[in-house]
Amino acid sequence: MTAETAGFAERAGIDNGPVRLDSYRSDDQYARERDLLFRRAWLLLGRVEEVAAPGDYVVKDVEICDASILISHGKDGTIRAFHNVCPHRANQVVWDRKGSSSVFMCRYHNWTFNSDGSSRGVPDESMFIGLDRKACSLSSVHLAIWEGWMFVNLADEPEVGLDEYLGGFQHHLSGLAYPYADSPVVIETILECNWKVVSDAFSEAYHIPAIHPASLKPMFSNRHNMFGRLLDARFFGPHKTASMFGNPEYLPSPVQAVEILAYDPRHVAPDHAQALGELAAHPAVNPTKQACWSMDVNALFPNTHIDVNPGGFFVHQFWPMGPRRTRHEARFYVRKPDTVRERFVQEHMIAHAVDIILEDLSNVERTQRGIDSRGTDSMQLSESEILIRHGLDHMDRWTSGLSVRDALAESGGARS
Amino acid sequence: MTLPEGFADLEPFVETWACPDFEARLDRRYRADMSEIMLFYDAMLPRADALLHALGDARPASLDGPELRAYRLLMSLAHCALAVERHKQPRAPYTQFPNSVRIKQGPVPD
Repeated sequence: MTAETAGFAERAGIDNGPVRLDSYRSDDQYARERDLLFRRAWLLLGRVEEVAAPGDYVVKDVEICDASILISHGKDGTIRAFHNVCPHRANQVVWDRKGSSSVFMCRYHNWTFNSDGSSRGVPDESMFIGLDRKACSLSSVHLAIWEGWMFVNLADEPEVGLDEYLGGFQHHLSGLAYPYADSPVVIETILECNWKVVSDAFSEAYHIPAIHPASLKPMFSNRHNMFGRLLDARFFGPHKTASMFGNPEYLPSPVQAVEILAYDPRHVAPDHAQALGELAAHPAVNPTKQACWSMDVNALFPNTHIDVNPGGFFVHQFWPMGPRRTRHEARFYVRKPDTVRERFVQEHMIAHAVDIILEDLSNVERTQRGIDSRGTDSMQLSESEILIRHGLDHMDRWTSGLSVRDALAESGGARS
Repeated sequence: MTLPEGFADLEPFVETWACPDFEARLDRRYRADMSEIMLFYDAMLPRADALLHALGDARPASLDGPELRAYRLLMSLAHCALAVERHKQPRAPYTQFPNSVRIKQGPVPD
């Protein structure tokens, strides 16, 4: 069971007091987050399965940096990232979101590029006097891959490598199997609020009995833990994990006839239970190994959650588009179904997930309006909301102008 | 006949509920009123076992014609069940509609 007084903030080395809301409504802070956080941190942009074969490419936006990133699996087998910008007149080169091709062609004047970003052809080249063809390649973006996750760093020279950036978190999650990583269901929403409001909404279970009374409450709380107190929280530099309580006695009620049908294990492929069993056996999954477990939030600084529950893994990302505008993307990774039965289970699961996401996301714009009203200057945060407190504390380190290495330092001492 | 033999009683629901993909089914449920959802749910529930028996072991991508339409009805039942069995209303309470939620990539196949 959960501890009566958890001591998570103390364990994380941060204060328990109220937390100011300025960073949620400040244009200046947004600019600091752009320059000091998103332009310096390693940002998770996807999984290698999205560019599985040589020639595959995908385009990803990092709106806060006005960046369009082209990730290309080169014909030589190497995955690289580039600014999706033509060195000729700066038009965007690739206009679709993904595909497979050995050549990229800018549609403005048909300049072409190989899958490794090098210049392939310049039409009517002799008219460019003194043209340096080496300068006619796509501009590289630093890319690194960790256990199938593709990260980019938009700094000219990253202050730390991905290995140092992930620190102890990569050991905590090391070897985690990501079943069905090639088969995501992708749900995207644009919200009129600061990105941290959205991130916060997916960072605690304290809200579940209130905001999700029918969709989640019966699964995430019971008479022993009415408010979904955390089972555990651990901290790894700026990254952290929280393990959430689940009601081990939860079953659909007899009047939920279709839900009972959708939960019927006979509809699921035999290898599915085995894949989920292997995932659940990992030491980082349900780290306290209790029956009363619902899910883990693995919060990868600054804007990604890699979550695991008994049904598999899923990802939330929170992309700032403006001080009060956010793109939320949820990815649920599901088995490619062999049968209509299996597909039926997935339809129910994803429809349920969309209901839950809408309950959360319908709330965030109300929160932003409350923040903007200045009716309160700070938040009162409980131990169950430690991920929010911890995230803001680390963002302060980055945006106060510390070097990345100092900001990453385990203790808060670097700030004083 | 637009549905497989033995399921003619579900014919009246094909036009409304045999939607082509996840996003269309979600949208259909969110736009429906509760009486419309109940009519469909009450008709489908006693037929769900038979539908799963008739179609359940088929590969979803292999379906065509009457079977494909029956499959789509079954998928819409999953959506409508959430309205009936959880929220007692078409959408979860206090959720925005219309909203900016887009299913960029749905479960495969549609």
